[in-house]
Amino acid sequence: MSDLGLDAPDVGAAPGARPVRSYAQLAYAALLVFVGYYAGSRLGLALTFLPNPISVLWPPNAILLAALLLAPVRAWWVLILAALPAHLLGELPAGVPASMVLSWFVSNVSEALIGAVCVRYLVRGPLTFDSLRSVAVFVAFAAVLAPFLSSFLDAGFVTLNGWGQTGYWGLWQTRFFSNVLATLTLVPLIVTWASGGIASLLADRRRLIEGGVLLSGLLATSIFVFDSPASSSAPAALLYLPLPFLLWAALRFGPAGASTAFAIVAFLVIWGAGHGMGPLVASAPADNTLSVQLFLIFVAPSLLCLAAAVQERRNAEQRLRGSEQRFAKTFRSSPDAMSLTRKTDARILDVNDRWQTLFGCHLREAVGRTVPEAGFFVEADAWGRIKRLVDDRGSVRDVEIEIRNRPGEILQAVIAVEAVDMDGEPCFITMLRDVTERKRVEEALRASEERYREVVESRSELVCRYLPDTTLTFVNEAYCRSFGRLRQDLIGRKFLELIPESTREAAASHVASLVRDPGERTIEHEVLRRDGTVGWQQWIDSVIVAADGQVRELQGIGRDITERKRAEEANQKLAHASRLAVMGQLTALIAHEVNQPLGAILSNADAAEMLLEAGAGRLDEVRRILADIRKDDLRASEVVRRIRELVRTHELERQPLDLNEVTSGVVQLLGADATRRGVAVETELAAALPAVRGDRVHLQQVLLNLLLNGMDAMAEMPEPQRRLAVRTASGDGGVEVSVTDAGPGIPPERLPRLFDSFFTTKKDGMGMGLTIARSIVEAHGGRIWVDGNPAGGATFRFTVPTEPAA
Amino acid sequence: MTERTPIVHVVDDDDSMRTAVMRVLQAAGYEARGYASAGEFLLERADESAPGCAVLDVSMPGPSGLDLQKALARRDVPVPVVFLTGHGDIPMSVRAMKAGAVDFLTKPVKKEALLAAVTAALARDAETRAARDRLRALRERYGTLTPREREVFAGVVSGKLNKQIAGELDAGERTVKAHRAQVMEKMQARTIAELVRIAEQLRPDSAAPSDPS
Repeated sequence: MSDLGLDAPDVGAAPGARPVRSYAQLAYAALLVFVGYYAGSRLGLALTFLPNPISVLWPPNAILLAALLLAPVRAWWVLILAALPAHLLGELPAGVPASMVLSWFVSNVSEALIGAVCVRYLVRGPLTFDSLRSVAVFVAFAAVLAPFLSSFLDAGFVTLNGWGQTGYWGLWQTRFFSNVLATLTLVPLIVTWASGGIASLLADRRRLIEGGVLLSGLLATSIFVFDSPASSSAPAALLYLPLPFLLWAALRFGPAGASTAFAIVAFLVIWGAGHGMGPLVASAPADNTLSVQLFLIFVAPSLLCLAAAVQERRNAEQRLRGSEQRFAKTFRSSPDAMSLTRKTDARILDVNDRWQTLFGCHLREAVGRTVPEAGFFVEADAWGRIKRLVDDRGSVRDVEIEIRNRPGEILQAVIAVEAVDMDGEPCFITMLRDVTERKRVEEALRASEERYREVVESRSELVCRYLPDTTLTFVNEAYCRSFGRLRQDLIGRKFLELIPESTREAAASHVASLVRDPGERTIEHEVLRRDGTVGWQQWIDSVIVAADGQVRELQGIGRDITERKRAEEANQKLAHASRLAVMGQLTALIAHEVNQPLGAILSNADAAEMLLEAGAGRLDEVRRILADIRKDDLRASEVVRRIRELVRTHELERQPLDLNEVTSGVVQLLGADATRRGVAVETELAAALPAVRGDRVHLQQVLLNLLLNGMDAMAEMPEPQRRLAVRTASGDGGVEVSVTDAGPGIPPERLPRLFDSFFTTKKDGMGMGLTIARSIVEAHGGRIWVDGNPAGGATFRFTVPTEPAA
Repeated sequence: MTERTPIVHVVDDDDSMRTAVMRVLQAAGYEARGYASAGEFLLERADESAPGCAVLDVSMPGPSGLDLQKALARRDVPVPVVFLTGHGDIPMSVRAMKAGAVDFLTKPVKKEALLAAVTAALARDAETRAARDRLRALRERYGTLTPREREVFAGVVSGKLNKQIAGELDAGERTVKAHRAQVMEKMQARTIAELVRIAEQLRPDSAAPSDPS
């Protein structure tokens, strides 16, 4: 009756969980009930042994009960209402009074309701007739109790209506048996067929043939025993002729087969008896009816119970087989090596593929040996230990163990053992996972970690990690040393607090920019040490990005550059001061050199203006003046260019250089200054001087320094004695340039410190020049020194290596 | 004394600068002459008696502008000097001004400043020359005095009475009175006060009468 759309009566379990799918389906179900009920009442009348008014088997009640069992409780009232017209239609034409007809409907419905309610309440889930319990509940409550109770009602109604001549108890008895039989025959039939029936039969050809044979046998024997003319004279023992077929149906075809077979037999018995045939026919129709009913009523429960028991067992077997299959499948295909071992003698019963691969040992070689003798475990008493563990705790989980495979390799494994019963014997299922590789990786990782830590800790570089808010999460030893602080004072502290306020903001924005735009960036900043001093650190910082793309941490590799920074600062001061000194000396030079053309230009312009104002028409003169202005302008710009080149700071740029040219250039540049100071500069340049490799501007600065120093040294001398000699000469592997002055000379005690910074013999306190000169010369791979002259004054000399011959 | 056009002498080793300065001066109506060095100026200056002034550069090859100033100051008729330098520091300008420079200008120089300085220098020159002419006239008059008259002159201007002078000169009071009238006339002095002023003017000169007492 699954077609009804009212299948699976699970309302008892979860009312409303499975609603009637639609009103159309409900209407269809109602229609089926109507038709079934009506057809049932026609059939019931047909099976009435006249003149007895009570049918041997009254189907309508059973059909209604089956419908109620299959439908959700919610739909019951619809089905009951649908049965009413069928009831009226079936009864009224038979000339029964209307009150009697309605009374019967009430008793019929009450019977169906009692049965349905009881079954619903006592059997959780659908009534399937495949367990002894469900069959027992059905027989006791639906098949016996419901008719038992409703029959009082029914008999009462008949008596009240004064219908028929039978006494109350007679009526009760007739109706009771009739309904018991109908319920036993029809409800299982309808319910089993509605719940799938013997659909499985059609799937298998052999089952189909078997079913056919069974049906044929059943029909043949039943018809022979109950419905043939000869059957009346047949001995009562023949009554049991169809029994084998009924048992066959119950054993082989389950509840559906059993109920079907029984229904067929019941129909044939009743039909035969009704027609005066079969071994149950006696003299009185009422007796006939009773004996037929009793015969069938006793057969049905036994048959249903048998079928249920068989089915129950079959289901249990199936479940077991399913779980066994699942186990076997798991065992075979497990990614872990699995073995089955008998507990009592440690004999290996089975191993899976992975096990064979792990041990390099075939199934045939493994099965039948005991675990200790096979020597799969390196530890001698591994098996004993496992057994004890299992006995103590019931199972073993994640125990590390060393195993030896067939080629003799020792592998690291994790073992899990579970105690099971296999065919009644205690066994161990052992699961092994090879963790050699994992172990090796772990070991390597640990070693690498250790090495890394050692590197990080022992290196002189500062290493730290910090959160985006600059909270330190890791610092190495060198970091602590640089700060002069303890590690526990640093971890968890924001390093921004350790930076002087002047550079804190720059450091904060450096970190922020790294977080915003991950990469690798360098920063130098000051740090506050514990002792109150300020140090310098240089960092290369990078970010550590988590899997979600967020910056979780930053890492810095740094150096303590305090020493370098101090040297740099000193140098910078030095260079700056030196440049200032040179600049100061150059100012006079620049002023003179530049103001000369500028003065000429202004005066020329003035003159031209005056000429034009005078209107004397001396245009030729004006033209000459303009030409002069242009010439002087160019002269001025040339001077500026030369001076700029001289004072420009730039990187050392080495190129082949003629020192004669450099020297004469500087002498020319200083010409005007020398004139002003009343110094006669003599130049002696060596012929065919080899080229040196050097930086023109830097070497110019050296010469400029020496020349200016020389002139300064002679400032106090009478003018005719102010003579400065500049010479070039080619020497060993280099060119030597010397500047000789006629000044007072340098006292011998000052010679050793002459090239040190801040040391000056001059009143106006320059003197950085020589330090710079020395650093430039030494950067060129040359040497600078000073000699005293026999005739007084000093000679400064420096060499620049010649360029190696190409 | 005939009026002569004053000459502005420009001494600068930078040809371009020198020419430009001369152009300005000439355009302003002066007669300008240029020299490339101090030596050239000293040698080539044609007429030392002619009125004029000098515009000197400070740093030049050979003797500097300051050296030249010193040399010129020793002359009978000192030439007023205006310095024009490309790079002047304070000590240098102080030195120049102490030595009697009219002005100390730096290049580039505005024509107004240059012309004002030159005008001032020429005015000073004219003044010096006028004073010098006056002194020369006084000296000439003084030269016409007899020794006796000079003695009386000295006595009068030192405020002595005729009687005192007579006593000192061992002469008669009337004689002294006559000499005194002669001196007043020769020296073109109307009053004693005027005579005293003349004597003051004559004194700085080596030829001036110095009181041996």
